[in-house]
Amino acid sequence: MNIKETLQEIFRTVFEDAELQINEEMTANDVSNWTSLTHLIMIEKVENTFKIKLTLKELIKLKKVGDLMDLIQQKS
Amino acid sequence: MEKHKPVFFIIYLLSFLFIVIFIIKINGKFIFNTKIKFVSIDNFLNKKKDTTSNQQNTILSKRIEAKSDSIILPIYESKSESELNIYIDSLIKISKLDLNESNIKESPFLYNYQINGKYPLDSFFEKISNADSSSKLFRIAHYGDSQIEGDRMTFELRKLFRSKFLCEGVGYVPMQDITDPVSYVRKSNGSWTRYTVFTNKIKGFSYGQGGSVYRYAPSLKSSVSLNILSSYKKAYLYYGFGSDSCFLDVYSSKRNLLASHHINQKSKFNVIDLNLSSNETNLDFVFRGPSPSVYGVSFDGQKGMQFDNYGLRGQAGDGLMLIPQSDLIDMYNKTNTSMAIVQFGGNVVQGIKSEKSLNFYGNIYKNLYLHFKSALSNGSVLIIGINDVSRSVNGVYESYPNIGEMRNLQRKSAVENGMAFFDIYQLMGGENSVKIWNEKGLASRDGHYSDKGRDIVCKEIYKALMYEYKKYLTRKNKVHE
Repeated sequence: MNIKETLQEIFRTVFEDAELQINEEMTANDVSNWTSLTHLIMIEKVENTFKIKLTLKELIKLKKVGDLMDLIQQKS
Repeated sequence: MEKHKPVFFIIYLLSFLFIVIFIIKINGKFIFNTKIKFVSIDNFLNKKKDTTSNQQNTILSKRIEAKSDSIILPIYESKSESELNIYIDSLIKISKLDLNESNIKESPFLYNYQINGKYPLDSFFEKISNADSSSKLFRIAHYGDSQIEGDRMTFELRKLFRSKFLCEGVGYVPMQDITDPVSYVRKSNGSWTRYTVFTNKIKGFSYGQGGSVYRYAPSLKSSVSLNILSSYKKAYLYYGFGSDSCFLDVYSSKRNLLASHHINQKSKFNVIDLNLSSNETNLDFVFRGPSPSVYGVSFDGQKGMQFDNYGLRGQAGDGLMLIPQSDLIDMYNKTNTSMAIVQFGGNVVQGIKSEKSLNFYGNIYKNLYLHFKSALSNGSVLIIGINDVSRSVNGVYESYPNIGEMRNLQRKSAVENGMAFFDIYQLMGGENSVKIWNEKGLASRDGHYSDKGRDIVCKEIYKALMYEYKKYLTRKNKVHE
């Protein structure tokens, strides 16, 4: 499973932007509709899709998309 | 036998349906990948749940209790439906009393605990005690979600404070919004686009202190018509990134030019005293030239205080942390904003499904509150906590689980970090209170207050603050003796 491509699909669905192209440096500031409310929905989808569990500590440490991709890679 | 066939058919059908009720549980069963929901046996028999022992939806079995050296925060038991009815009836009665000295008592819902020798609201109280003599008006920024959007609640607080202090006009007015406000009428003409820290984020420009900014397409005439429903003495424009060929003309409804300004300051945040030749209540703001970043306008008194409403529908509040600290400090200094009231929480209830998500939001709110506290190091921050919210569970309305726990985390973050906290959830009555508020016409089931409900809530907030203000004055007089 290609992590970036799969994550991009999740982002496009959750943040309702069919054209969204993710990159490692992307943050919530770069994406309309990326708020804490949609963030948790996105994380739930990531956990279900990649069959992983993210701890609260790990969630709080995430600063950008690249951090999330690394975490998924580590846990998958 | 033939004539009894319809009766037998009905009996067989009812028997089958009873069996289905017992087999299929409340959350439904999957059959051939299709989820089937059916009436539960309790609903069928119209049994009311005992809310005092309704812990089955509460994920956390332990209460979170904040402790500091000398502060222990109370833990509440749920009230029964009959207790809630009696309590809320008493709130309604109390709200009809005059707001005189004898009816202003200590509030169990306001926490203004001394931390490091300082009371959180003292800066605010100092401002209001000097408001009439000071030459400069000071502002209170009220942030919240749909509970306050369109100047709701803020308008009530302004009206209450106006009864005792100088507080004129309607405060901050955005150029565009998704809701109709209660204290003015606005019509945006042309091609305005609203950008906020939550949706439709903007890059390369800044947000105003309310987390929004407005820009227009210069090829079309862009104006905003306002009908201000309150008298005022001063009007201001807040903008950034002006240009040499940008102008603002302000007209009365009779097309008299009341003011004309060059919107040419290039810095992020600028304030213009519009100096209108007449303080008309029907105004047209007509912009010409390339679009600056318009943050809004305000209508205020010459001095005294002002409440500014920054309502953002459907949000948890975290987006406001996208306003850089340095920008917020600069804007607060330029507008003389001395207090922030931060009122969020209702929109997170659906997302609190586990201890992890509860603590995730707890962490968000701690950071959000500290964001405002740091920007107002010489000011005050009042946190208004989450209110009760319900949803339909198989046709019966119940409060979302864990609202009390969310309130505990918000309260802890506020109190331990030198901020005041008003417990609106407990004011309502706690768990399942919104059901009774709804039955009495005080709120919708999703927790939005009606006019009557807002009247009760805002009066309780006002009375709580006025009691603390009285204590502040006593302390201040003792110091000077």
